[in-house]
Amino acid sequence: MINFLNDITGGHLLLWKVVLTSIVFALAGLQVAMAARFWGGPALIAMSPGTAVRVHRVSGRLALTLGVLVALTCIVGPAGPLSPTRVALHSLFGILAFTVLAVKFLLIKVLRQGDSVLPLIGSLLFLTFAAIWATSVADYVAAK
Amino acid sequence: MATADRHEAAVEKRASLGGVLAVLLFGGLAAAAVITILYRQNQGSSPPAAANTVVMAQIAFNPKTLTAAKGSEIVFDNKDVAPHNVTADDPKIDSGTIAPGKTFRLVVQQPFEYRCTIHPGMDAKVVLAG
Repeated sequence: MINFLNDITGGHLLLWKVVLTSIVFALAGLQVAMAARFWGGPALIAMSPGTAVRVHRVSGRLALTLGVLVALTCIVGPAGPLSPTRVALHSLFGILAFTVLAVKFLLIKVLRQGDSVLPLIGSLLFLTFAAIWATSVADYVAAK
Repeated sequence: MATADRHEAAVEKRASLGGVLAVLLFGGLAAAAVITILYRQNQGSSPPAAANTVVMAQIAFNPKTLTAAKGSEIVFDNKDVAPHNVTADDPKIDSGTIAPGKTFRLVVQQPFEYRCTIHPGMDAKVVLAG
């Protein structure tokens, strides 16, 4: 599977993952800004709450689609080692991100409750994506 | 009117199929990652290497200790997604960056310990047979 992923990316699988992970991280930041707008927080971007909701949904779906794609390439590819510490932390944050996402969707789409904790979950997700980015992309750029 | 309100409330409270699928997808990914890590930790993370070959996979050299005859050629095969290098204290042993899917060949004259300077903790050694 590693060989297949390397082949279809021309031997630049990590670079592709770096680009996609950076996009996901940027979209996660946008998600927080949009959520702040319709949750009554500071208006980081001048926009009506209704528009913020729509942007939040679209960018969220895009972020999750790309995030799932990156996660799948991690799981079928390099996932496994717990050394060095950076790799172990990267795996831990990746697992945490999808666990939090599962909890979030369980609350808002299945149980239909827990609205009050959504800002907390959203903030936790953003910080987790930041940690994922820092333990992969930042290291990749630094190594270059 | 009261019936309509109750119906609306019931619809509002009903779990959406998309939501259930999302929970299964995200929970499944988290579980798959945990299972994959545990499985590969138990199995050994790298594919078995052929004679006189060191495979780089999942941020490790395999085998950690390679026994080779003096004057024989060793192949370092990068089967990882990340670039690696083979660097020893002896400046003559320096592969430069080995891209994924590429190899580095070296005729061994003496035992040596080496590492990948890109990935701390990724190290191994070559010992001479006999």
